[in-house]
Amino acid sequence: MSPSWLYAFLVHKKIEFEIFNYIFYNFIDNGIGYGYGLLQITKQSLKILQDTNGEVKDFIFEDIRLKDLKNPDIAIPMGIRWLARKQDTATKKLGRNATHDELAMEYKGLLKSKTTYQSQSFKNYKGHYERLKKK
Amino acid sequence: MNVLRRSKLILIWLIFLFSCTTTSLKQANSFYLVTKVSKYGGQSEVIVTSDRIVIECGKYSEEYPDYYWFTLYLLDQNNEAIMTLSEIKHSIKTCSQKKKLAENILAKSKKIFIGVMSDALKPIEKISDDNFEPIYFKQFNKSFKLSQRSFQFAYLQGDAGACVKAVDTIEKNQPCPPEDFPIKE
Repeated sequence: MSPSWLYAFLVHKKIEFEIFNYIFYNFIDNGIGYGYGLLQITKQSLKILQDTNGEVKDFIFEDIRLKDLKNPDIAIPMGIRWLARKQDTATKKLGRNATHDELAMEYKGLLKSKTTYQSQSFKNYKGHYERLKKK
Repeated sequence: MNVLRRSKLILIWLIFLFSCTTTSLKQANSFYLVTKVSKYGGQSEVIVTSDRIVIECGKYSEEYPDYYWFTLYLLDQNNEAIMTLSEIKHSIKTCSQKKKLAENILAKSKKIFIGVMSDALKPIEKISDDNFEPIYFKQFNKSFKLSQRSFQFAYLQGDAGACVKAVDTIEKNQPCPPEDFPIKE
């Protein structure tokens, strides 16, 4: 994946990006849970995003530490790269192109979940999205 | 014999009467009230009595079995349980710590102030036909239906001032309630 592709993806996915920005804006500097920074990147995801032999080896980042994720200039590109990866995994799981809603659920690790939590979390996400569209 | 029978009837009647009075008294002191919603519906404030709150740490998803949701259930005015989720992945350790803190607040306070990142007055839109398990409230010794409404948790504060946020930060002196509360607009 080239940087220009990533930029195009960022522009194309502006709406989703804003949603995540909106949903997680109050989660900056989270040091206790598993997700870090503006886009709630987990330790495992951070490792994969820098692994030269990992699942995103065609476009990786280098020398990024957990605390660097507090910086939006670093967290946003990494989050978008992870979002691109999640688009691939969601498409594989579904056997077709994932919708925006499905991509959001895959990003949260809830695409195939059938629990009450998934259902209610999806409602919260849709609530934010509707408000965002009205603004 | 007649006197005995009459006393027995009076006793049964008194027991019935007292049990009814106790129940209605309990209900009168127990409430759920939405006090404020922000202009665009992004935040709401709710006051609820501690007996109407249940806290749990639930498994995040099949894909992430080591993660947990920090979850509150709020029993609303229609006696339906509103799932209030902290939209963040927790370890069992961090979730349990938060649960313990919140339960201490519930034990010491009657009135609980709750902030959510949701519109608490928006008409409920049913988007799934799922029929989920009812939620058990120990205080009422009864299970209640899960509401179609759901909230994103922001903070919980007792009337004595102690407070728990959805997200704890590594930086010191972060406010609780968080910056978006109390709602100004």
